[in-house]
Amino acid sequence: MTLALALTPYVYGLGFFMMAAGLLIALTSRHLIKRLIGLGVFQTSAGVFYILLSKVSGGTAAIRLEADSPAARSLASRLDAAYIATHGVDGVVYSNPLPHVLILTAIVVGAATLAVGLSIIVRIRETYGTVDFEELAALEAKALRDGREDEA
Amino acid sequence: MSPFAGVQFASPEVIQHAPALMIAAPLTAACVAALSPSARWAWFSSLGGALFALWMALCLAADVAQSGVVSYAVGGFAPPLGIELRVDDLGVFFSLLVSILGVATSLASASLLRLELPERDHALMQAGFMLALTGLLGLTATGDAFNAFVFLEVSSIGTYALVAMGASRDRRALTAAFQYLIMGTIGATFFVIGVGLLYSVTGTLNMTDMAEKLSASSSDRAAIAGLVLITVGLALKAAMFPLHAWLPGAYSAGPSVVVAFLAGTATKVSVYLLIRFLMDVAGGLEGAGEGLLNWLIAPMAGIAAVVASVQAVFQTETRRILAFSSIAQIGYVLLGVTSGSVAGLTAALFLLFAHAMIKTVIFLCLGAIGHRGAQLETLAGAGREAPWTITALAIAMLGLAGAPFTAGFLAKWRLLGALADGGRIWAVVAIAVSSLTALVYCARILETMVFRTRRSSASGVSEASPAALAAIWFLAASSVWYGLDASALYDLARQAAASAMGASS
Amino acid sequence: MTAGEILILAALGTPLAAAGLALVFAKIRDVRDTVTIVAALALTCVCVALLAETALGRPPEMRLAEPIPGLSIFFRLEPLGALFAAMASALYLLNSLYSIGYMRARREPRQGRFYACFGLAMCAVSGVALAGNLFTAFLFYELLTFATYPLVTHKGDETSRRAGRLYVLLLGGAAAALLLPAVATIQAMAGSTEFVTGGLLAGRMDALPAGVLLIMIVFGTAKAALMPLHAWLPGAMAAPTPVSAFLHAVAVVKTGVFLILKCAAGIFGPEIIATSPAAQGLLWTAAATILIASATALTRDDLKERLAWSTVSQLSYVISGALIAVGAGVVGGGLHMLTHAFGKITMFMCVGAVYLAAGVTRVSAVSGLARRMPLVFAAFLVGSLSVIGLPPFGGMWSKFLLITAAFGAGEPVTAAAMILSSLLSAACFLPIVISGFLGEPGEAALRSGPVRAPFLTVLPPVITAAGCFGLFFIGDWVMTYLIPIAERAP
Repeated sequence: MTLALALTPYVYGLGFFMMAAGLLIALTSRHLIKRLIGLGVFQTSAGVFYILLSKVSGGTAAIRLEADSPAARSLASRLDAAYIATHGVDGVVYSNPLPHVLILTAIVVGAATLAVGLSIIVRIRETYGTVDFEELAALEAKALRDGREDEA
Repeated sequence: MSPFAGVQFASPEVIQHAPALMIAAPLTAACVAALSPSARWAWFSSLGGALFALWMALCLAADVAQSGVVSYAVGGFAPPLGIELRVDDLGVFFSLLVSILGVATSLASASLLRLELPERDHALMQAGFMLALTGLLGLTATGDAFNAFVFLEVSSIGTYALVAMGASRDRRALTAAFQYLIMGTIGATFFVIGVGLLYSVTGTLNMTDMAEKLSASSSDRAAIAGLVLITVGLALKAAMFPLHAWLPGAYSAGPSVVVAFLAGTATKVSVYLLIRFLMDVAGGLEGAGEGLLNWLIAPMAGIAAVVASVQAVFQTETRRILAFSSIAQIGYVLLGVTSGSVAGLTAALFLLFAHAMIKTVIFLCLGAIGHRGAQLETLAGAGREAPWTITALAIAMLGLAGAPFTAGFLAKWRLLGALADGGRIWAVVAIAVSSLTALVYCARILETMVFRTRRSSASGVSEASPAALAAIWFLAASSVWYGLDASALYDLARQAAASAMGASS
Repeated sequence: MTAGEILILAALGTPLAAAGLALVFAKIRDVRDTVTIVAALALTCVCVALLAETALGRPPEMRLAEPIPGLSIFFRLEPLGALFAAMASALYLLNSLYSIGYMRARREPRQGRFYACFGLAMCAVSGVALAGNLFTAFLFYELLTFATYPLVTHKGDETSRRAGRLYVLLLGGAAAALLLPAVATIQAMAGSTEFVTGGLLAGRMDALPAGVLLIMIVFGTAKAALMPLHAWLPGAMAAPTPVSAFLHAVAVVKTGVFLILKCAAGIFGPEIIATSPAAQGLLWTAAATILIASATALTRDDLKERLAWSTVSQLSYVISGALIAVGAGVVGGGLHMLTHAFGKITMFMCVGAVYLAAGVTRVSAVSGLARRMPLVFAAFLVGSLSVIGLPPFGGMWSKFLLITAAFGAGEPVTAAAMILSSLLSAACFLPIVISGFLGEPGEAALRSGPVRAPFLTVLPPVITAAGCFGLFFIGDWVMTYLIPIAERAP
C-alpha cells in the first residue's frame, strides 16, 4: 500500500507521458497505421488518468465484501485504525467504481474509432496504393495540379 | 414571448418522453436503414426518423416554453446520480436547428446520393447519417458531461465514415476523412480528460450539479485545467482557428448531402457545447469561463474571421471556398458569444441559425445539380442549365454576403450593433474586413455561375430533382423570410441567450 | 390604411410589379415595354402625389415591417425625399421611353432581364427616398447595388464583367465594411436610426466619435463617388447608354449623395458637423475631388467617360453642400441634386443618340456632326450649360447657392474649387458642341446615308433639356420647399 501511494504522482506522470507520446505519434508519424496506434495510446492515457482518479488509497476493487469475511478482515488488517475510523464502512474501503465504468465506455468508443480508422486505411491503400503520409500528400498535390489543368 | 408558448404538438404522454424519443427515433431509423433491402426503403426510414425527431423537438420546444426546463431521468435513475436529459431554452434552440436541417437534408438525400454514390452504398450511408443525427440531437439534450462525450463520438464516428464515402466522387475523401478522424478523436480525448478533471474536483458528472459545486469552490486549478482541455477539444470539433485544418478537406471531398448536413450542424453543436461549458457549467467559477472566452476564444475568433475569409478568396475549388467561409463564420459567431452581453449572444445564435440554413442550401445545391468538377471555373454558366437550383443558390450566396432582406443581413447587423455597444471596436473592424473579403468570393461564385456563359456544355449540370428542390427552396425561402420578419427566430435566440447568460450571472 | 400609406406602398410596389411582369413577358416585347411605360407613368403620378402631400404639410408615413423588435422598415416623407422620388420617377419615365428606342434599335439581347433590373432598381431608389430611418435606407441602398449589377455587366463581355466586379466590390464593399458598422453603431448608441430634424445624434455624442462615424458614412456611401472610392463610376460606363443615363447620372449616384444629405441633416445635425474636425477634412477631400475629377474629364476622349468624370466632380458639390454647416448648404445640395440630374441625363441621352445614329463614341469624331442632327446637339448644349451653371438654366441656382453658402460658412477653399471647376466644365463640354456645329465635317459626318436617331431616343433628351430651362424659373419655389430640411433641432 505504501508503495502504491508513493508511486501515485509518478503514475500520473506516466499518464501524461503516454498522452504526449500518443499525440506526437498521431500527428507526426508518416505511416498511417502508426498514426492510429498513436491515437490509441493517446486515448489510453485518458483511460489511465480516469483509473488513477478512481483510486482511493487502501481501497479495493468495487465488489461488495461481506463484513467479517476473511477477505474483508485481511484487507482491514493492512490499514491503520485511524484510517478505518474516518473512512471505513464495516472496515472495507472501495475504490470509486464510476470512472471504471466511464472508461469502459470510452474504450468501446475508442475501439469503434479504431475500426473506422483502419477501414479507411484499407480503402486508402486500395485507392492510392500507399499508406505513407508524405507520398499521399505528393499524390494529391499532383492530382490537384492535373485537375486544374484538365478543368481549365 | 416564445412563438411556441401555448402550443401543443402531441398528447402529454408523448411529450413526457419527448427528450428520449427525439434521440431514439433517428437511432432506430439508423438500424432500420442499415438493414433495409433497398435504397428506397433506407431513404424512407431516414426520412421517417428525421421527421419524428423534428416532431419531438417541436414538442420539446412547446414544453420548454411552458415549463422553462425539461428534465428527463434516463432509465428512471434520478439525477444527479443517473444520466439526465435536460433541455432548456438554449438546448432546444439547437435541437430545432439540427432536426430541421436533418429533415431537409434527408428529404434531398435520395436524389443527391443517386448522383454521387453507387446504389449499394445508399442504405449504409442513410444509416450513418441517422447515427450522426442521433449523436447531435443527443448533444443538444443531454445534461450529463460524460454522456456528452459519448454522443459527441457517436455523431463523429458516423461522420468519419460518411465523409469517407465521398471517395466515389472525389478520392481525396479518404485522406480527408482520415485526417478528420485523427483530429476529431484528439479533440474528443481532450474533452474527456477535461471532463475527468472537472469530475475529480466536483465528484459529479451532472452539468447542473457540477455548476453548483464549481461555484462553491472558488477557483480550483484542476477545474481550470479541465476547462482549458474541454475548450481545446471542442475548438477542434468546432474548427475554431487555428484548429480548423481538417475542415476544408472534409467539406470539399465528402458527399454533398453529408457536407450539407455537417456544415449546418456539426460545428454549430460544438459551439453549443462551448457555450454550455464555459458560460453555464463554469459560470460560477470565478472568472475562469470568462477568462477563456475573453483571452483565448475572442482573439482567435477575430483572427479566424479575417484570415479564413482571405484564404477563401484564394481558393479555386468551389467547396473549399465555402469551407473557409464556414471557418470565418464560426469566427463571427464566437465573437458574438464572447461579447459578454445577452444582445451579443443573441446575435451570435441568430447568425449561427441563419448561417446553418444558408450553408446547407448551398451545399445541397452544389450536390443537386449533379456536377462533378471541383473547380469553380467548371461551373461557369450553370445558371442556364439549372435555373431553379441556381436561383436558390444565389439567394443563399447573397445571404452569405450579408445582402439586405436576408436573415444573414439582420444577424450581422445585430452582431455589429452588440459589439459596438460593448465597446469591442476591434471585433467590429475584424467583421468589417471579413465582410469585405466575403463579398469578393461571393461575387466570384455568383458571377461564374449566373453571369458567365459556358464554354462547353458537356460538364453535366442538370436541374435538381423535385424532392431536393423542395428542401432547398424551403430553406432558401426561410432565410429570406427571416430577413423580413425575424421576430419568431429572434425571440427563440434571445431566450436561449438569456438562459445561457442567466445561469452564469 | 390611410391614403399616405397606400401611396407609399404604390411607390414601392409599382416598380416591383413592373420588374416581375417584365420577367414574365420577357419574350413578348410589346407587352413587356408597355408594362414598363405604364408602370413608370403610374409611379410618376404616385410620386407627384407624395410630393404634393408633403408640400401640403401632411407627410405620409408608414411602418411596413418590424423584422426584429426595435428595428423597423419605416417610411416617412420629408421635402428632400419627396423631391428626390418625384425627380427619379419622372426621369425613369423619360428614360424608359429612351431605353425602348435605344434597346430596340440596337437589338440588344436579354431585354427582359434588363427591364426587370431597372424596375428593381427604381423600387430601391423609392425605398431610399422615402426611408424614415437609416436602417431602411441602408436596406434599399444595398438592394440598389445588387439590382444594378446585372445592368452593368449587361453586355456580358470581359470588359463589362470586370467593370461589374469593380462595381459590386467597391459599392458593396464600402457599404459592408464602413457603412454597415457605422449604421449598426448608431443603432446601438442611439437606440434607433430615425432621421430627426436637427440630428439624431445631436447632444448624444461627442464631436470626435461622431466624426469617425461621419467619415465612415461618407466614404461608406461609395455611390456618392467621393475620391478615392470613385473608380467604379467611369468603369460602369461599359453598360448600355440608358443605364449610364439613368443609373449613373440619376438613380445610383444621386441615391449616394441623397443618403449623405439625409445623414448630415437628420442623423448628425448642424451642430456636430460644425464642430467636427472630420467634416473639415471631408470638405477638403470633396474639394480635391471636384477639381481632380473635372480636370480628368478634360483629358478623356470617350464621350461617356468624360461625362462620368464630370459626374464624379458634380457629386462632390452635393457632398460639400451636406458638410457645410449652414442651412443653405443642405438646401443647395438638394437643389443641385435635382438640377444636375436633369442636365446630366440630357447629355447622356444625347450621346447615346449620337452613337446610335452615327456610331460615334469619341469627342474627336463629332466634328461637324451637329449639322446633321441639330436637335440632339442643341439639347446637349442646354444640358451642358445647365451643368456648367449658366443662366437661364436650373444649374445656375444650385451652384450659386452652394458657392455663396461656402463663402458664408468660411470655406473659401470649397468655394474656389467650385468656381474653378465650373470653368473646367465649360472647357470640357463647350468644345464638343462647338466642334459639332462649326467643325470641319469629319468622317462620321461625311458618311453617306441617313444619320438619324430613332424618334424615341431624341424626344426624351429634348424634354429633359426643356426641364433644365424650366428649373431656372421654379428654382425659387424648390428652395422654399426644401428649407424645412435644414432646420435645427427645436
